[in-house]
Amino acid sequence: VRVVIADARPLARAALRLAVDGRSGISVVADVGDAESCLKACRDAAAGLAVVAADLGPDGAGHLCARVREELPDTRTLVVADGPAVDRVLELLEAGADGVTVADDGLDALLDAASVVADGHTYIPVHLLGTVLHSLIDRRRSDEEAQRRYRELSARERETLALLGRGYDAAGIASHLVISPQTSRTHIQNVLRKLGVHTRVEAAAFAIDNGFCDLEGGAA
Amino acid sequence: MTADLTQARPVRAEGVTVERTPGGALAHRAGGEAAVALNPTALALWELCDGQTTAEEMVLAVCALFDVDEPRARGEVFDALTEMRTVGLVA
Repeated sequence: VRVVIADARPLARAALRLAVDGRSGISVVADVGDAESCLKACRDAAAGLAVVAADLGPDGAGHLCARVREELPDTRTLVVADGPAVDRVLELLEAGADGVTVADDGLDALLDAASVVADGHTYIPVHLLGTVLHSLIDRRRSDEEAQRRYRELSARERETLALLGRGYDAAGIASHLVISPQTSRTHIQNVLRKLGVHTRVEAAAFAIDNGFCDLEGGAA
Repeated sequence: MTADLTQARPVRAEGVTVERTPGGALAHRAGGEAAVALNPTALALWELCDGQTTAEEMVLAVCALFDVDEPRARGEVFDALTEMRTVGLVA
């Protein structure tokens, strides 16, 4: 498999190149220091795999993986994370990485990961698999609970929630929805009660975190 | 035939201890019977057997993580859970 290595640290990428080139069917065709160079090298060399340092600047490895997935469908991506932070691993996978390996797991793990990812599969370190799955399940439960609470809101209350999420206060909501300030406050109280939160800030955070800031029907 | 475990909330059997190995793990049962080898996926599923997580939740998480279709993931997860039940790793 033709591999491009992307790491902002020249010594790190040179060392990685020396370590993996010629092993496990890997042929390193380029080592680069930034995302744009990585995209260009993958495209020019028809690389099958990009091995990317998680902290590759300026937008991070996740952003690069998303672009590779979008622009270079024949190139797979493997991110080398600094540590076993489950949230970070999930974030990278959701951004578009095909696999994540942890630097502390060593060279054999990286070679194994490269092989798995190049073969078209997803790679996650074995020791993180259970925790990552558990985190996904927790997140799904949280999403379902948020949807359940959102469904309890009336159409007007959903608009109120969306406006809270956009930073409107009671007067602003009243003006925007062309209702009285008292009615606006009533909607806000109903939203807080149905969502089970105590403050407008909590309601706004709920709206932002769960993507409920759009007004239905496309009204701005 | 794959058992329908959709609503099951499997729980790890008492007394089972796990020893990680390079290829997954060895599960030692309370009665001192021979250890059972678990591959990485089976080990991850066993870890999820907390009595609260449903088998279907496990299926959906596997689908999301490995980008596999639901019927295939359901078959593999249910088969693994059934096997772990059979050998006494899961109640």
